[in-house]
Amino acid sequence: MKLGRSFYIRIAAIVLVILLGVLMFFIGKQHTILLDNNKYEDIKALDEVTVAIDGVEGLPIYSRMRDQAVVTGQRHTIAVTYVDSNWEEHTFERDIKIPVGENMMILYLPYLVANPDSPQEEWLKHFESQAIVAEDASANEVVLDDSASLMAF
Amino acid sequence: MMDTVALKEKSMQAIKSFGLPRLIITIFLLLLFVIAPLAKVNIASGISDMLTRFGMNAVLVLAMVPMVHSGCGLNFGLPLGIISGLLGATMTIEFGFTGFPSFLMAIVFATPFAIILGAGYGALLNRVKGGEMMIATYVGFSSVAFMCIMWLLLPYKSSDMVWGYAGTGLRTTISVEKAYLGVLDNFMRIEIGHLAIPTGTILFFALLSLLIWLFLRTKTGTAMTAVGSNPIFATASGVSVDRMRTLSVVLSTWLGAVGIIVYEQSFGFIQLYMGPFNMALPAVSAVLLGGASVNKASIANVVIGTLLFQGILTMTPSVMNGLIQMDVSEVIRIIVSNGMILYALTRKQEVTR
Amino acid sequence: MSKKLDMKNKVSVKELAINNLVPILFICICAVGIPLSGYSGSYLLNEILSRLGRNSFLVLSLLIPVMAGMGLNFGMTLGAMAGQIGLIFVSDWNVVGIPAMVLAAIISTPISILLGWLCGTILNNAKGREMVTSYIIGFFMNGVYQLVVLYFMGSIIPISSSALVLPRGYGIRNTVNLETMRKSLDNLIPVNIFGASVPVATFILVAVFCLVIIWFRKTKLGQDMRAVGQDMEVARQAGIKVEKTRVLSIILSTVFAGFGMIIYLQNIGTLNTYNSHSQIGMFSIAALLVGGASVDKASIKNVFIGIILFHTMFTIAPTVGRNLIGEAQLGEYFRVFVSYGVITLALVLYEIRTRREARKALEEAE
Repeated sequence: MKLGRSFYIRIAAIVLVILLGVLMFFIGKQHTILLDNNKYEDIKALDEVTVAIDGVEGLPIYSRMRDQAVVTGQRHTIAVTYVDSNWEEHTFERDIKIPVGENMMILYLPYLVANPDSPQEEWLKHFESQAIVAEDASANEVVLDDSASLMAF
Repeated sequence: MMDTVALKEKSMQAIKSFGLPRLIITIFLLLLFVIAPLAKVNIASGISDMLTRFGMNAVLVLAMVPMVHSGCGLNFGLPLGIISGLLGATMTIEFGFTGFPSFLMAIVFATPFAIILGAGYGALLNRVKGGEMMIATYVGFSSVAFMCIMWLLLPYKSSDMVWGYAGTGLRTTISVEKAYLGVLDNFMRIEIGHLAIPTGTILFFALLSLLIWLFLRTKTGTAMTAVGSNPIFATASGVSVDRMRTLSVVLSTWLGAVGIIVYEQSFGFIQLYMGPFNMALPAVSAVLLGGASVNKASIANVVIGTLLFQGILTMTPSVMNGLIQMDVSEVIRIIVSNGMILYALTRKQEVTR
Repeated sequence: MSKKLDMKNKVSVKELAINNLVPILFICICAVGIPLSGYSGSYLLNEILSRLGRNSFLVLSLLIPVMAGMGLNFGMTLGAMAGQIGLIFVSDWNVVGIPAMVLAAIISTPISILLGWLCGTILNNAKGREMVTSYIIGFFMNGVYQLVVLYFMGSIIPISSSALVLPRGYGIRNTVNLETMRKSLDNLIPVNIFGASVPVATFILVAVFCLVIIWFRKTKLGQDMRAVGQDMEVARQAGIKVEKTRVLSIILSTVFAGFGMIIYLQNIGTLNTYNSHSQIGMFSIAALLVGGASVDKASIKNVFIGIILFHTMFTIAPTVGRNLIGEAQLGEYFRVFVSYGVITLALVLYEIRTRREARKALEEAE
C-alpha cells in the first residue's frame, strides 16, 4: 500500500496535537511549594524571611514556621529577603525549575540562604503530601440516579 | 461425518433463532446459579427472590404485547399506563379501602384513566406512524413531568399520603401497608425452608396472560395482529387500522396501570413524582430478552424474558458481592437491558417493516 | 392564476405559524413569566449571557448530524462522557486553567472519535430509527462509562489523587472539584455591561465554531452530507459513500459535544461524575427545538434563539412557581415538563409534516 501525502499530513497533525497536549501539561501543571524555615542539616532557622515568587510577595515566615505557595508551570523566579544576625536586610533572586511529575515540593530556606549558589536539588526536594481529605460520609456515596440531574441543570 | 455437519448446521440454526445475546445471558444466569454456592449464596432464596421479582414485574412486561401486536412498536410510553395505575392506587387509599377490595378498587379507579389516556395516546400514535417509539418515549416522559406538578396540586387529603407539615401535596413514597400490601403475594403462599413462592401474584399474572391469549384469538384479536403484520392487507379486508391500533394502545396502557398496582402490592410503596420515569426501559428489554422483537411478541416471550431479566438482577449482586466484594449489578443491569434494546433495534430483518 | 398564488400564500402563512409553533409558544411563556418572576433586568441578562456562553457549543454540535439527515443526535451524551473523562484526568494531574481545558479537550478527542464511530456504525444498522437508537446508545454507554469510572479508574486506570478516588481505593467520587479551572475561559477577557459580566472569550470560541460550521457546509464533505440527508439512494448513485459520510457526521458531532461539555463544566465549576452528562443531550435538544429547528432542519440562528428562550424559561420557572403557587418545586417540575413537552411536540409536528408531504408527493405522482 502506497502511503500518500495526506497520510503524512495526518500523522504530522496527530503528532502536533500530542505535542500541544504535552506542552499544556507542562505549562498548566500546578505545584505546591512548601517554604520551610526550620533547622535543616545543622543550619539554623532564620529569624525572618520573606519569599516572593514571580514577583508576588508572601507573608514573612518566622523561625520554625512553614508557609506554602501554589504555582503553575515549571519555571519560576524566587526572591528571598531575609534579616541576618546584624539586623541587616538582604535580598537575592534565584530561578527554579520544578521537575514535571512533582505535585508538592519542599524548599529549605535556611540552606538556600546559607548556600545561595548551590544547585537546586540540594534545597528543593520532593515532598510526599499527607493531605487529609475531609471525609464526609455523604461524599463517599455514589449516586447513580440520573433523574436527580433533571433538577439541577 | 455427514451427520455431524448436519448437526452443526442445525445447532447453528438453533442458536440463530434463539438469538446470540439471549444465549449469552441464559448461560450467564445458569453460571450464576452454579457458582452461587461458592459465594455462599443460598440457591433456594435466590430462586425465591427471582420469583418474587418476576411476579412484581411480569404484568408490566405483559403491557408490551398488545402494542407490538398491532405494529405500534415497543411501548416506551409505559409511564402513561403507570400514571393511570398511580392515580388508581392513590385514590383507593384516599377513599380508605383496605385489604383485597382496595387492590380491586385501585384497578377499578385506574381503568377510566387508562382508557382515556390510552385513547389519546393511541390517537397521537396513529398520526405519527413510523416514528412511534421516539414519540412514545417522550410522551411517557412528558406525562411523568406533568404528573409531578399534579401530585403537588391535586386535592388529596388522606394523612397517609400528604406531606405532614404542609397538609397538601403527595409524598414521594407512600406506603400501601394499610391497603393492599401483599394481598396477592400472601395468597396461597408456599414456603419450604428458604424457598418462598408468591403463588397469588403468579396466578394473577397467569389469569391476565390467559385473558390476553384468549383475546388475541378472538376476531378482534386476530384483526389486531393482521394490522401489525400487514396493514395493507388488513385495510383491504375491511379492518380499520387506526381503530385496532388505538385499541391495542388502550389495552397496553391498562395493563401498565394494573402492572404498577401489582408491583406496589409486592414492593410495599407507591413511588410518585420521578418514580415511573425509568420504568419503561427494563420492561422493554425484558420482553426483548424473552425473544420478542420490534414487531413480534408473545406471552412466552414475556415469561421467559422476565424470568431471565429478574434472575440476572437478583443473582448478580449477591453472587458478585460474595465472590469479589464488588457490587457491579447496577452497571450490568444498565448494559444488559440497553444492550438488548440496541440489539433489537439494529437487527437487519426488522429495518424494513 | 392569481387565485392559486393567493391560496399558496395563505397556506404558507398558516404553515409558517405551525412551523414556528414552538418558538411562538415560548415567547408567550417568557413574556408572561418575566414580570411574574420579578427578576431585575441585569440579573436576567447576566444569567442568560452566562447560559448562552456555556450551552452554545453543545447545542451547535447537534447541527452536523441534522445536516446528514440523521435527526437529533441523542448520542451527544457520548461526547459529554468523553469530555468528562478528559476533565477527570487533568484534575488528577493537577493541571489548571486554560491549559487544563485544552489538555482535557485533547484527551477527550480520541475517546470521542472512538465512541462516535461506534455510535455511527450502530446507527447505520438502524436506518429510519436513528433517534430512538441513538437515545438508547446514550443509556447503554452510560453503563459502560459507569463501569470505567466507578470500577476501573483507580484500579486498572491509574488515578492517584485522593481527592478524586473513593476511600475504598477505586472509583471516582460523586463530585470532582473543578475550582482551579472555574470560569478560566469565561473570565479570560473580562468585560462588563449593565452590571452583567460577559464571557467574551467563550463567545469568541463559539463564533469560531459557527464560522467552521458555515465553512464546513461548503466543503466537499459538507455537500456530501447534505446530499445524504436529502436522499440516501440518490447520493449513493452519485458515488457518495453514504455509510462513511453518516459515521463521519456522528464522529464530528461527538467530538464537538465533548469540547462543549468541557466549556460547559468550566463555567459550572464542579463535575457531577455520574449525573452531569446524562441529561445534557435532552436539554440541548430541547433548546435547539425551541429555537425553531426540526428533525431535518436546523440552523445556527435556531441555536441562539433557542438557548435564549429556553434558558429564560429555565431561569424564571422556579421563582414564578413560588410567586404563583408558593412552591418553587412546582416551577422546577414545570420546566422539566416543558423541556420534554417541547421535544414531544416538535417530534409530533415533524412526523405529521413528513407524512403529509409524502402523501402530497404520492398524489402528485398519480
